[in-house]
Amino acid sequence: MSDGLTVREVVVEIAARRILDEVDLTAEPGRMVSVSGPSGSGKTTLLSVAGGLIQPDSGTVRFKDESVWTGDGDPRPDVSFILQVYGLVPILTARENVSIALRSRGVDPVQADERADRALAALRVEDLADRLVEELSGGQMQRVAGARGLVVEAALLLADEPTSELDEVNRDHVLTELRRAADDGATVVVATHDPAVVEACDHDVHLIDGSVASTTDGLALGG
Amino acid sequence: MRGAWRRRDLTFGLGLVVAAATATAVAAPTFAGAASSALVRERVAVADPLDTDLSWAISVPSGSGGMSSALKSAHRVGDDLSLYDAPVVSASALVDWTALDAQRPAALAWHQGQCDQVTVVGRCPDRPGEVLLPANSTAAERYRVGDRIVVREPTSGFEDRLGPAHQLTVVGTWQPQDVGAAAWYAPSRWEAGGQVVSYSGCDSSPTAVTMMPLAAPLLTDATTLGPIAGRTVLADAALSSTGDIGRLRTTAAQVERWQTDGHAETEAAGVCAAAVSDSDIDGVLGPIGGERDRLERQGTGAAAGAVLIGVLATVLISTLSARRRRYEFALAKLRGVRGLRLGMMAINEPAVAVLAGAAVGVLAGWGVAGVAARAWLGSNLETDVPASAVPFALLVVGFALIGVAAGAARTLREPIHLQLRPERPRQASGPAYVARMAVFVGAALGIYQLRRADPSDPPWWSLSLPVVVGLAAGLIAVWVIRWAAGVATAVSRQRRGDGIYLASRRLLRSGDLLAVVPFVVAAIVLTVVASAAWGAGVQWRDSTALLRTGGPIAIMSDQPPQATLAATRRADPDGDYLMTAVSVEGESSGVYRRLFVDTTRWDRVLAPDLSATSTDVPSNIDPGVVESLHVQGQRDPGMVSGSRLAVSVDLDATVDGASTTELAIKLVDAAGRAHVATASLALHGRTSRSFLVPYCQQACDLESITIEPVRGYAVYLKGRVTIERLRIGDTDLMTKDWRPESPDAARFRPTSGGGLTSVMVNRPVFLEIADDGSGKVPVVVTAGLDLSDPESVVGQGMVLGIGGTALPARTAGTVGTLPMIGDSGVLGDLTTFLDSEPFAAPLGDVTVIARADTPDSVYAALADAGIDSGDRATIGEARQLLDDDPFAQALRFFWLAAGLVAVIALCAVATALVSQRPTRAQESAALRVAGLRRRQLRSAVVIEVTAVAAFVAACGWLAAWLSTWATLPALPLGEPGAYEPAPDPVITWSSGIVPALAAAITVAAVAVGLLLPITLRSRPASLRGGGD
Repeated sequence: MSDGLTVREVVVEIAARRILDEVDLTAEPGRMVSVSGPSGSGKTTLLSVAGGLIQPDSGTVRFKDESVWTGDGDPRPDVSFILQVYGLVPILTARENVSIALRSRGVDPVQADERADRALAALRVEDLADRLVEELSGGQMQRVAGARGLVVEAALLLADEPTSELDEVNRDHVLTELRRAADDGATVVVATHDPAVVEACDHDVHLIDGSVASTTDGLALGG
Repeated sequence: MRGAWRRRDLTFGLGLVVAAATATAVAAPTFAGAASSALVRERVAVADPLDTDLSWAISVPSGSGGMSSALKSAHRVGDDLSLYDAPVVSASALVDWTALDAQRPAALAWHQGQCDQVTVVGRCPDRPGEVLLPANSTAAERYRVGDRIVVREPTSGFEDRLGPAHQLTVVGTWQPQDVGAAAWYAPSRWEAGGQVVSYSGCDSSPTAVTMMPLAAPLLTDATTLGPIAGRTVLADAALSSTGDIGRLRTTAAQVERWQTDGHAETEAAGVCAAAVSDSDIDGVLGPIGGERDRLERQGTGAAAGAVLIGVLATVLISTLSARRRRYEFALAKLRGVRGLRLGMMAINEPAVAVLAGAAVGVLAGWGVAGVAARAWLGSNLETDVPASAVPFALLVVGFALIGVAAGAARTLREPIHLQLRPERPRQASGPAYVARMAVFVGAALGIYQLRRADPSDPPWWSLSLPVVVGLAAGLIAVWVIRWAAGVATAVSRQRRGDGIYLASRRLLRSGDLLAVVPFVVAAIVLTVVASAAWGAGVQWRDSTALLRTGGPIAIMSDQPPQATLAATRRADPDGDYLMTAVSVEGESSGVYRRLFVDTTRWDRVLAPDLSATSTDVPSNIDPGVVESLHVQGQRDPGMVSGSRLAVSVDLDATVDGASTTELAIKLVDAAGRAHVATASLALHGRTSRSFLVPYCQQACDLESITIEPVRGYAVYLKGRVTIERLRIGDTDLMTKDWRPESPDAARFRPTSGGGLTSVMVNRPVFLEIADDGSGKVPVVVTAGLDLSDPESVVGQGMVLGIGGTALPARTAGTVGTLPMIGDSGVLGDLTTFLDSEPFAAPLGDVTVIARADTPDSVYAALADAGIDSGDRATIGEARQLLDDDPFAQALRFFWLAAGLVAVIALCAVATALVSQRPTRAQESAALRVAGLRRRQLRSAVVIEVTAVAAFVAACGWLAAWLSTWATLPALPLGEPGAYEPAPDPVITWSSGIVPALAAAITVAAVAVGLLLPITLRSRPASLRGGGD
């Protein structure tokens, strides 16, 4: 029995092309695991499978000893995403994009707004709270998406390229918050091609062409 | 393929909207043109033939060959006249038939197709020298079939010799098929004393000379007339029924020239033709042209409104289409596409969609107009697309292309990095802001101007106003929705409910769904106006049909009013089915139209059917007022019926110089003939007698009772006479009022038994029925009667009776209109007025009004009384005539326009919603990633759509009421005749509710149907984006 994320021999095929080929991955609570690899290696697909957005063709994906697949492609309430394409809603402001994630989980509306403001402040975008998404730059949108992913304090946090649009300073802010989430007991999995992000994680799974090429442990300790 | 379709759905939608808009631009003026053609055709068809038909005389040399030339020339002239049917040729000549009458000439005549027009006993003349004698004439009494007669050509009177003789053989007799019917053109030609045009030579103008033939003509064949000198050949041609007023005007000019300029040479020498009629086609066409122009103006106005919607919808969709392709343009720029090539790329696809849509729309519009015209206006109408449709169609296509180009230009100007990002919220552009302001100003000004305009000649744009008002109301609806969304956004921030949280923000910040709201509201408004106009037209036609018929079934009676009344009462004793009515048409302001009905039957015969129609004419008459018109007790009907008269007289008198006295009772029958029943009376004691009075079987009036001594010299009766019993049939006449001939002749007082008087006299008693002189006859007058007119008889407290007798009158009530006589006249009780004029010949028509469910047995009883119920008119027939009137048909045009606008609005709604699908799919996926479930997303869509639908319904309803109030009085709902009230539409608050709700429900259903599936099916996995 495991409290973390367990991915066993997962195979995903799309349009007769094997995107993931018997991939294994384990991530324990309190740790940050990176999934690295070149573009097209299957990082995003692996995170989608891990979060229950896609059902694998074979293999198992379990979190806290329960399958992550809910049947309709919606993630479990204890799973949170930071998407590579941000996934923000254009008709909502930055605050509302963050707040809606809390409201949908039954949080009181006033508290949801307060927590959203704090999440935005943690990533240094609190002054953009009342702006619509279309008024934000790429980096700002990425941080708002990050705030939304972090604010729900999910047990499993899956972040896909959360710092690709950010400069060094903001990248560090995001990494700090991800580490804080892990320290608070969350299982954090980060897909990235940024070596600095890999170094900040505890464990790395390197994918090449949909297969695990190597795994590296103890990175955050500088090993 | 599916992906390609999704990229092209908006382009397809653009083509669809353009097709709908172009179809409207073509269909509306095409139908309007067909309606105005139908109007012209119908008006020309019912015009007086004396005004439209043409006659011409042919002058030919005498001889049988001349007749043949005349016939050819007559037809040739007819061929030269456009829009005239083939002429009907006739010829006549005066001859002397001295064997029959030495003083007056007889007439020989031939008429093309004559034997089909008359009833022939014998056979039709088919060889030269054969004649038919007029039936019921001296000639027919004296001559038989096979007899030979000799007639001579007339001479000038100054000649000693006789004219050439012609021997003719009688082959039968003829008489007109329809007495009094103008079966032949200008029937006076065939009557004794009719006018015959004399035309001789090619240098003379035709002159009309009154001939005095002996009797109706002898019919012969054309060849017989050929050699007779002085014969006249005439051709009559009827104007063809056509809707082409241009050709009619050309023909009118042609006829006018011919009538004023004299004769036309024809092909043979010495053969001339000259117009001999006084046709006034120009005069006929004047009002028709005015009506037609008015109808076309109205049609153009309605078409303009519908096209405006189409233009705006195409601009909207073409702009949406350009904005959807931002990403495509960005990629093209990244690939190095620039300048003209980039522009062509941006415009090609939507331009093709616009042009293809326009082509489809032109064909569809023409087809729709044709189907509508044939269904509503008649199957033989031409529905060519008029020239006025071209600018409308070009307007739609032009604005669509401008929208495409402007939208593409605006989008192409964006920097690439912005084109690759989600679209920023746009502020309204300058031209869009100006357009909105123009809509508001136009709506406000239009309402103000229209309410002040002359209702009989509204401006052409009056029918565009509902669309403009609808657009303005739609814009207001959008503002109200956004305001309400702003309030809901603020409130929902601190309250639970993700559905309203999302819906309010979408309505506040996203404009795509709201952009089509004005079109939906405009469609609602136009539908309501069309519905209200149609309803008002139906109401007016119901009322007018009733006015014209007088009741559910109107049976003409050729019997006097008394006889008709008696027959009606005998056939329907209970008064459930039949009611007698006499209508008199006045001819001047002082002599008004009068209607006299058996008011005791009004409620049962007339009222039930009237309440079943939409007319409110009779409901203006209080049943109590109608009842009060029948004067009870004050005066009983002088008319009674029965076969036996019974009388008892008690006499106690002495007479000088005589031993008996005579009782004489004078009765006047239904035909106005007087009869006297006499009996000898004993000087002392009671005498009872019973008389058979068959002339009273139908109806008769008791005029007087005379009791006088039987001697030639004057003697005097002294004593007392009491008439104890007087009865005709079942009617006891003891209740009547009596007075002696002269007021001072005797004193009279009622007997203890009541009724008649006991008289003490010393001279012959002459008692006659008289009115009590105590009151004025009550009448109901119409509000349109000008009582202040010095010539108004009613204004002076008098009323003209059935036969024109002036009677003191009082006004018992005032109504708007009355059946049969319209909005200017009086209504009185028939029996009350008959009492004053029992057997006066009515100056108008006597009619039996029957209920629609009158049993056959009642009709049979009526027929037994001599009134044939076969000659009847019904409300249904009158209404059908009105329904077929082109103005009524044109009202259907508004339904067509409303339908087309509804199609445009629906296409715009569907296209706008389809264009949102990718955005909404992405949003739904993002919200599901964030944690929202499908039920919350469903709730958001339903709330959003319901809010829009509710505001659409509310604003549509209010705008519809406002438009109806402003526009309906200006619509041509019908063409009233003389004394017929003009349409008076009633506008109610509730008239727009159903269409508004129906539109709102339709829009909601379409929106939910298109948006909900995509919202619920969009999975978070679709946001993976990076693809790996």
